[in-house]
Amino acid sequence: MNVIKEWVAENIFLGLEVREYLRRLITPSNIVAASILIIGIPLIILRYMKGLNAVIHGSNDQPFSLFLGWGLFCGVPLAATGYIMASAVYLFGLKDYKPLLRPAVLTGFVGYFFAVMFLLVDLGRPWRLPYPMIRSFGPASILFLVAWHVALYLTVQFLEFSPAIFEWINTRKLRKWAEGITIGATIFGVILSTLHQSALGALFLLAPTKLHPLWYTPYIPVFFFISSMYAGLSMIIIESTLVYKFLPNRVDPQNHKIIDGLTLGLGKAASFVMITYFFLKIIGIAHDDHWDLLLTRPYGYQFLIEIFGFVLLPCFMYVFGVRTGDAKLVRIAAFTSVAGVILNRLTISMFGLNWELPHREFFAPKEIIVVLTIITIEVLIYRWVVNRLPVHQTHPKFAGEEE
Amino acid sequence: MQSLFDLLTYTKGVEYIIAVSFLAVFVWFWKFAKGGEVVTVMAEREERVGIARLLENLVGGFLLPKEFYYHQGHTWVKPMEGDVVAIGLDDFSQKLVGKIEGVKIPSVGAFLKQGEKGLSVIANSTPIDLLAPVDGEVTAVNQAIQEAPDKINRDPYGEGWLVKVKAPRFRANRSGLFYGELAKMWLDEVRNRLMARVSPALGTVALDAGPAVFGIAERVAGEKWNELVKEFLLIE
Amino acid sequence: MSIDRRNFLKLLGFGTVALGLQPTRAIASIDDSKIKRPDSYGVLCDVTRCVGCRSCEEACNTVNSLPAPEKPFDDYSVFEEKRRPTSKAFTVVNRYETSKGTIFRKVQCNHCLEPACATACLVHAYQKMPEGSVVWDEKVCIGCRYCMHACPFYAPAFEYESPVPRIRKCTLCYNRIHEGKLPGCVEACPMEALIFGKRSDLIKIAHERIRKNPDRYLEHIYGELEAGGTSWLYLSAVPFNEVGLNTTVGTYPMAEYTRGFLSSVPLVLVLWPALLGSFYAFTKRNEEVKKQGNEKHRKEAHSQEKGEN
Repeated sequence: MNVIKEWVAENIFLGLEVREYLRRLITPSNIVAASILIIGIPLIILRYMKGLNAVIHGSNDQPFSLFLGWGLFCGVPLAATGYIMASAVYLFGLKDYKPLLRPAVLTGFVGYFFAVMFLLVDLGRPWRLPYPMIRSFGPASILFLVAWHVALYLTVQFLEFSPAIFEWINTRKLRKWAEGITIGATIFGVILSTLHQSALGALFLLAPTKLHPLWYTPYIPVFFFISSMYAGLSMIIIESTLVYKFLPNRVDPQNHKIIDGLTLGLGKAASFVMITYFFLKIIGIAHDDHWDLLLTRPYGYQFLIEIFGFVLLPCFMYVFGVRTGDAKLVRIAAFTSVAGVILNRLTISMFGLNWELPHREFFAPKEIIVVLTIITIEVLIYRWVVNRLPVHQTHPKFAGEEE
Repeated sequence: MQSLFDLLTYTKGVEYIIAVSFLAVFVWFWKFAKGGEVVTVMAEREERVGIARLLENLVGGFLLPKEFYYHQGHTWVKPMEGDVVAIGLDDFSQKLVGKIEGVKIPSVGAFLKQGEKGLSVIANSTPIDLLAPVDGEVTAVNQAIQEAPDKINRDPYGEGWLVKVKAPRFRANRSGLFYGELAKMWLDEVRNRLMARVSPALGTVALDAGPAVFGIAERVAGEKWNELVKEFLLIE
Repeated sequence: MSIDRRNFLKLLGFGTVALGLQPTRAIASIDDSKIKRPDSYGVLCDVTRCVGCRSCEEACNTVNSLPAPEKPFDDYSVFEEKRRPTSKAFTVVNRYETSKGTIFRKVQCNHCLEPACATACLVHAYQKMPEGSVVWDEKVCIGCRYCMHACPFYAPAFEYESPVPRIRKCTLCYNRIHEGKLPGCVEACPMEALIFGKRSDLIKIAHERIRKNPDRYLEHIYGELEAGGTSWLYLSAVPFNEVGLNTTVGTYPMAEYTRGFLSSVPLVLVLWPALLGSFYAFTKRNEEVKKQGNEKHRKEAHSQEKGEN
């Protein structure tokens, strides 16, 4: 009993007395977070009690809400960090990036977990979430594929992250077991990611009349997959930037010295993916001979801004940053790239959908608040984990125990 | 109206042209991305993998046994029977100087003063002074290390002891020594100072387990290794 | 009528196969044996006969026990805006100003032969019944609304206002058909603009009408081939897009667009483990070689030391 008490005091309350810990919780950022939650959580409860229309302007023509547009369509590529880093370290032997592996897996796990949370808010009957897995199967549907893969992938990410949890609760044997299955989990994770990242794009193949032709192409699945790669790489850069800046004492000291070098390496990889992606997008236009659409207002201009301003531009920012060893430029490129992915996904799932319909409503105010609320919860949980578990910091008892 | 055949001829043709130009662009892009300082950085990185590996060991790497007292000059003291203490070279300095080829230690009866030069080891054919960690009179000298100086490298806290000293003022001397938590913090600081020597542009740390590398000073500072050693061992 | 460039390109992209729908040749009716369920039912909607009385809407409301609408069925101000089926109205009539004047058309689920909604549903909540109805089953629906996205005709509606929401749409009066009755709207229409019967028969009837009145009708049955064929067929005096029917839908069933991707899934499931496993093996081998190299170095250094001593 005492052992547990001691562990809780050390690992949950960070070695502080409970009162002291609670007192220290009062910081400006926590106050902002709390105020968002105070408004948002009652809204979420309202949504369950009164139906979706309590927080969104439900549209029969435009059934995808911001919960899906952001939570699923943006959330999933931004959570692609796990499979990218695991491949880099385990399949391609780039052991230099080990310090970023666990954070990447955590980002991925939290990202997918919250994609599911967003789904639970969006689904009409969220208690039936497991149905496609256990009750009734519709294998002709690409969404069926997405559902299965997200469920499996969440499990895989959890298993990949479990060594950190086992270290935290000090169970050597379990940790050893978890480390043993890492390679298999990694390969399985890459397979799953390939399929569901592209499947999210394939969801739109079914309705060719609805998505604007500049974005509708049989190549959508490939585009989604490739862009998820550089989205993941950029997110790893962003995550490390934020953690090293705001939680520096949770990071192993020597990592502070090497992070710039690692950032440059990631940026280089991202730049190659992005130049490829740029050309793929051009081929997509050529495929259906949509050149003239590029000059239409507003969608043509939006597409051009997307590929030039948010793909080609950050691509070259990455390259210049790498050439001159300028990690700051690389970080700016990372933020720009992620903004581009968000723009692309929101266009495809919302703005560019049903583009010919006369009236379309997008975000209801309450909808935006709920999205902000869930994002806040996500960030808080992420911060909680990084503060306690050996994610960016090595667990002293397990130091030096590499596989 | 155009036939499917005409449409395909046209669009596929355009696509192939774009794809081929991509290949050309990609080759250029590859070179462009590699250009500049990064090339030299990569080359240096290959060379310095040894340090990188060593630095990774730093988390558990430099041995700092608990029962010992440490002097800023990287010598250790271990109380034995009575007021006799043993003195030796710590793991950090043994790794810093590299393979020890010989020792120059005072004979029995000589006096040491805390913080002053009194012993030396020889590495790279150069004598390296060490600061004595306590005041006292030498009562015994380690014979084994005269014949096999590399014992100091292999077992700096055990068989590699240098001298035994009768230290009646040990209690007073203790205030000038690090112990326990304080010693850990001191070594952390030393480690950080050492890492500051490694250029940040190199960046990466190789993480496969492997033997610790000898001669950090030489790897880090090349020809100026002796200066680096003197800096860390606090020798003028 | 001038087609602007964008629409022209759309036609190229999706409707090239629509070459078969061009005038001049008397097309033999499409070979019905190729369409499964030739005995399934359908409704022929003759748009030229509709006068916008909304009796069909009222009948549908009664037959399905739907709530009373905001504006009563004899209030024709509803025509001022274009409506679509909702969770409380499975069918609506819209008024269109066309090249041949004011025309009314009834909007509802077209009960496609290869329904996109059924393909899209990940829990198989939709079924295409042998009678022709595309029916939604409440027992498994999770409320994801992907079917609504898939439907090219914007037919399904969702009860966003309910905490236990349902999909709502026309069922082709599935229950009534089984009792030998006509669908509510068909029975109610005073102009006999709606005819219920076997789909194959309706197509023959439609062709007959066109043949007998070439000035009255456009020589095309909307729904014969669109989206892979629908159970609800339309005849019109004006181009169908003028009465709000989507003429860019093409003749592929919507499901066809996903076949390419779906077929690649098993390929990835098989190829990727082989590929990735090879990368891993290759990397591992490289590491082994390096390690052996290091071992050799260490052994040499060690023996050197020994030798010196």
